[in-house]
Amino acid sequence: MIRRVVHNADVVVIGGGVVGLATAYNLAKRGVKVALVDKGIIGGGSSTRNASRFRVQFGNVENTKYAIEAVKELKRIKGELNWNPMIRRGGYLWLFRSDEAMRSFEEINNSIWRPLGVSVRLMDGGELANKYPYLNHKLYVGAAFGPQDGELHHDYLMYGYLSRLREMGALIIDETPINKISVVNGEVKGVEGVGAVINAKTVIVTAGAWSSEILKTAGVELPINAVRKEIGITVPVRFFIEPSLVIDTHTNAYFGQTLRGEVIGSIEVNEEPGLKPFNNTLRWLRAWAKAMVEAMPVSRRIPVMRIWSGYYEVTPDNSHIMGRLDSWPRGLYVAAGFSGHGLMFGPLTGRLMAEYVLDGKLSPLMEPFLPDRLSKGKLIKEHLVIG
Amino acid sequence: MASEGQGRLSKPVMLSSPRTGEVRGFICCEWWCSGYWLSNGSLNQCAGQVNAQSSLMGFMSSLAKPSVLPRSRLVKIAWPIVVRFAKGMRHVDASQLPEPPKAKLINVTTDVLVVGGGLSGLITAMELSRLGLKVTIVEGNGELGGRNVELEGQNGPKVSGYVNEVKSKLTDGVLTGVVLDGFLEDAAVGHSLDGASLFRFNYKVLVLATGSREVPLVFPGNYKVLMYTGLTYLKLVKASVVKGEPVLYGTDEWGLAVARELVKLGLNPLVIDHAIQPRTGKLSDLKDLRTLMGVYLSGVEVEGTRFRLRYQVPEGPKKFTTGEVTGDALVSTIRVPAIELLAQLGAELVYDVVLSGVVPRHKWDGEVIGLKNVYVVGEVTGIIPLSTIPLQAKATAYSIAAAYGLVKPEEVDRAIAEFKNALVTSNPAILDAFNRLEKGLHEVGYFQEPNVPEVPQWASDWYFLDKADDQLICFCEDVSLGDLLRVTKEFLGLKEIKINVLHDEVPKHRELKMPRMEYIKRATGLGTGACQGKLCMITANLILARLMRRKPYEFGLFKQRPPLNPIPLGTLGDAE
Repeated sequence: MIRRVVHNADVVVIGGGVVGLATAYNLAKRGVKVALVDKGIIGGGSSTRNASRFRVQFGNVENTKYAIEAVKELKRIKGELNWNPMIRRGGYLWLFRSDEAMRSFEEINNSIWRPLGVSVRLMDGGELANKYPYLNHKLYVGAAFGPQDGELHHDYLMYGYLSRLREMGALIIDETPINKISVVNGEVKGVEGVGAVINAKTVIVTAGAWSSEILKTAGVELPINAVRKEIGITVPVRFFIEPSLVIDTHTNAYFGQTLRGEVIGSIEVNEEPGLKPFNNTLRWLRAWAKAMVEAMPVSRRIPVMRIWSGYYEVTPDNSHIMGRLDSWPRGLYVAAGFSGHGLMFGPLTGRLMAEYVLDGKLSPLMEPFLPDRLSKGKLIKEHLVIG
Repeated sequence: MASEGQGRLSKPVMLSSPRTGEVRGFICCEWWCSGYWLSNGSLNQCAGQVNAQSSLMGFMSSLAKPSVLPRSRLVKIAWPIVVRFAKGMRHVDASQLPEPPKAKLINVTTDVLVVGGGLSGLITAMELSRLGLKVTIVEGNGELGGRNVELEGQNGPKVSGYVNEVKSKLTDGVLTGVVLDGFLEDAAVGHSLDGASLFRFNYKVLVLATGSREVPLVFPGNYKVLMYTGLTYLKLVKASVVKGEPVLYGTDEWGLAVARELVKLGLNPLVIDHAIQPRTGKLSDLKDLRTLMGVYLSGVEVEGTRFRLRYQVPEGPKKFTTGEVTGDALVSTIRVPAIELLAQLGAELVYDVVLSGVVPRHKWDGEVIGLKNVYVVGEVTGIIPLSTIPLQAKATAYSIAAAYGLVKPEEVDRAIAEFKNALVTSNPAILDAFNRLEKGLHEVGYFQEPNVPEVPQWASDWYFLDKADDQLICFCEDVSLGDLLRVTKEFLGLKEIKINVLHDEVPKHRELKMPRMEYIKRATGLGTGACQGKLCMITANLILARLMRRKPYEFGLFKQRPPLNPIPLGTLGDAE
C-alpha cells in the first residue's frame, strides 16, 4: 500500500505549469501558505513543450489588452526571479501569400492594434526580399512585422518561479497525481492524490489540458479540450533568423531560431481533440518539413534533431477561463484553457488570480475571461491562433 | 552525409566549443557521433569538412557555463550585450551544410527487423532466416560486421564469415548506411545517412541489436586532451593516419582486445584503469600487456602533441600517492549500451554493476516485458562476454520462431540452456546478475538495486570535486560536473552538498528526493545537443548516483526523442 502523507495549507494550486507557478508565487509573496502539486515534473506539461514565444497582436480587443499587460508583467517579473528568462524581442513576422490576407490583417491593425498602441508595420514583397533574403520571396506578396513580440527561455522562467517559491517555504509536491478535489457541504476541503492528501479551504485549478478532468471531481463542467500539437527543432546552425517567429499565414506554419542556433517550428495539421499520448506522427513531420523548405529554401539542408508534442488546452472561443462561478463549491477557482497562449499569459494571470482570490479584486483585464461568459454566450472569439 | 568520411579517414580535426571557444579534444569518427560534430561546428571530424572556429574571451566563458548563465546577476544586467554574443556563437552556417539529394520514400515490409549489423544482429538474422522468416537488417555503417571487424584474426571473433553468409542469404534484406530513427505513431521511420532515402518500416517483430558505444572519460581537464574512442583509434592506426604512444583506459574484454590489436600493429600501448583487477574478472587477461591498475586520473597537462596525465592512488582517507604517465593519445574503451531506441519505446531500464550496463526490463532470453514484439540481443543487454553472444542470439531467434510454430518448445529450452551454461562457465557473477533481474521483474519490480559500490567506468570520483568545473560531461552543450552539482543543489534547495561525512552524521541530501534527470536536462541543457545524450546521458546518471550515494533510478533517465540521428528537412520534405 502506498503511504499517504497529509499536509495542511491555506491554498492548494493544482498544476505546476507557468500559470500555477505564477499564481502560487504571487500568493506566497503575500504570506499565504501555498501547496503546489503536479502529476509529473514541474513545468513538464505544456509550459515547456511550446515554442517559447510571446506576442501582443491578437484578433480582438480583450486578448490584445491582456497580452500587452502580460508582456509588461513578464519583463517586470524577470527582476524578481533568480533565473534569467532570457527575453529577446525579435518581433513576429507574418507572411502573406495574397493581397486579401494582407488587407484583412491591415484592418485589424487599424481597428484594434493601432488604437492600443501596438501596431504592426506592413511591408511589400520587395522590402521583404531585401530584409529577409533567406525567405522564399516569390511566394509572398508582403508581410507584417510586430516589433513588440519576442521570445524567452521557458525552462528558466519555470525554474525562476520554482526557486523563489522554495525560498519562501512553499510546499512543492511533484510526481503526485491528484485524483479528487474534496467537497463537503458545497465547500472545498482540500485535495486527495496518490501518496498525498492536502487540506485547504481554497483550491485553484491551473492544470491546463487536464483541468476539465480534475474539475469534474468537484462537479464542475468546463469546455476545455486537449488538442495535441507537434513541434520540432533542428541541429544548431549559425544564427540568421532575426525575427523571433516567422509565420506563414497561409499554411499556419511557423518557425524561429533559438539563441543556441536551433531552428524551432511546426505546422498545424488536423488533429482530433483528446488527451492522446505525447507521440509524433510522420504525417505531421513531412507536412512541417515541406512547409519549411517551401517558406525558407535553405532549410532543405538543416537536419531535424528532435521532435516532441504537447497539448493546446482549447476552449470554444480560443480564449482562457479564469475566476469562478457562484454555483461552484466555495473556495474553488480556475485559470485554464489558454488555447496555446498560456506561457505568455501565465505571469500576469498569476498576479491577477492572487488579487482575485485574496482581495476579491476583479481586474477589468480579467473580467471578460470569467467563466460566466460561456453560459451567457459572451464568447470572445479569437481567430489568431498560431500552430 | 555523416558516412561520407567513413571510407577516407584523414587526420581528425580537434573541435572547439561554439559557446566558449575552448577545445573539445574528443575524437570519434563513427556515424553516431555526427551530432557531436554538428554541435561543435563541424560536418565531419574525420574528413576535415568545415570547422567553424570560435573565439570568446576568458571571463565571458566562465559566465557562459550552463548553470551560471541563467542565474548570473551580471548577465541579467548586461543582457542586451550578452544577447549579441549569444547570436555570435560559432555554428556551421546553414548554407554550408550539404544539400541532400532529391529523396525517395521507401516502404520496407518484413517479418523481423533487426537493428544493428554487428555480431549479435548478424547471428540473430541468420538463424531467423534459416528458420524461414523474412528478415531485414538495418546497419548505420557502410559495412556489416560492427566493431569486431577491426579485430578479425587472433584477437576477435570471425565476423567476416557471418557477414558473407548474411549478405548471400538476405540479399535485398540488407540495408547499410541506414538508421532506424524511431517509432512515430503512424510509422517506424529511418533514413539513409546520405539523405537520399526516407524509410517506413513495417515489421511483425523488432530485434534491437544496437550494441554499445564508447564514451568520453570524465576527469579534470578531460576536454583538453586528445581523446579517441578505441574503435576510432584502431581504424586510424590501420589507415596509417595516426601512430604514436597511446594510453588506453579500460580493461573490459573489448578494451584488452584493442590493446592487443595495437600491439600487433607495432604500437606499445599502456593500459590503465581505476579498477584494481581487469573488468573481465581474470587477472591473467592482463599478461603480456603494459598495465597500470588502480589509478584515479587527477589532471592533465598538454604540451604540443604530447600530454602528461597525472594520477592518484588512494592509500587511506585523504592520503594519496601520486604519479604521472605520458603519451600522445588517450584512448577510451569504456562502453555504455546504445539504449536510445529502447528508451524511446518506453522500456524501463535498470543498471547493473556486474553487467556494466543498462539492462532493459526483459527476461534474460531477450523478451522485453510489456512490449511483446520487441527483443533485445547483444551488448545492449549489458556488456556480456563475447563468447556467449552467438548463443544468446540463437536463443533469441528460437524464441521468436517458436511463436510462429517454426521451432519446437524443447528446442527453445535447449538453446536457452546452452546460453545459460556458457554464462556460468564464462563468469558466474553475470549469470547471477541476469537471474536477479529476471526475478525482480517478475516479483516486486526491482529485486536488487545496484548499490553502485564503484562507478565502474569513469575515472572521476569525489576526490576531485574541487575540480568539478574542469570535468566535462556533455561535450555538445559544455555541461560540466560542476554544472550538474550546482543545479542538483538548487533543485534540492540546499546551500551545499556535504559529500564526506563522519560515521554517525546523516548528510541532509540523504533524506531528500533526488531531482529527476529531466529537471537537470532542462536546467543545464545536458543531452539537448545534436548528439541527443548518446555520449553523456548514462555517464551523468551514474556519476550523480555515485556522488550523492543514491541509486541511478532515483534520478532516472531523460526522454529520448526521435530521430536517432538528425534527418535533413529536405529529405523529409521530398520523400513521396
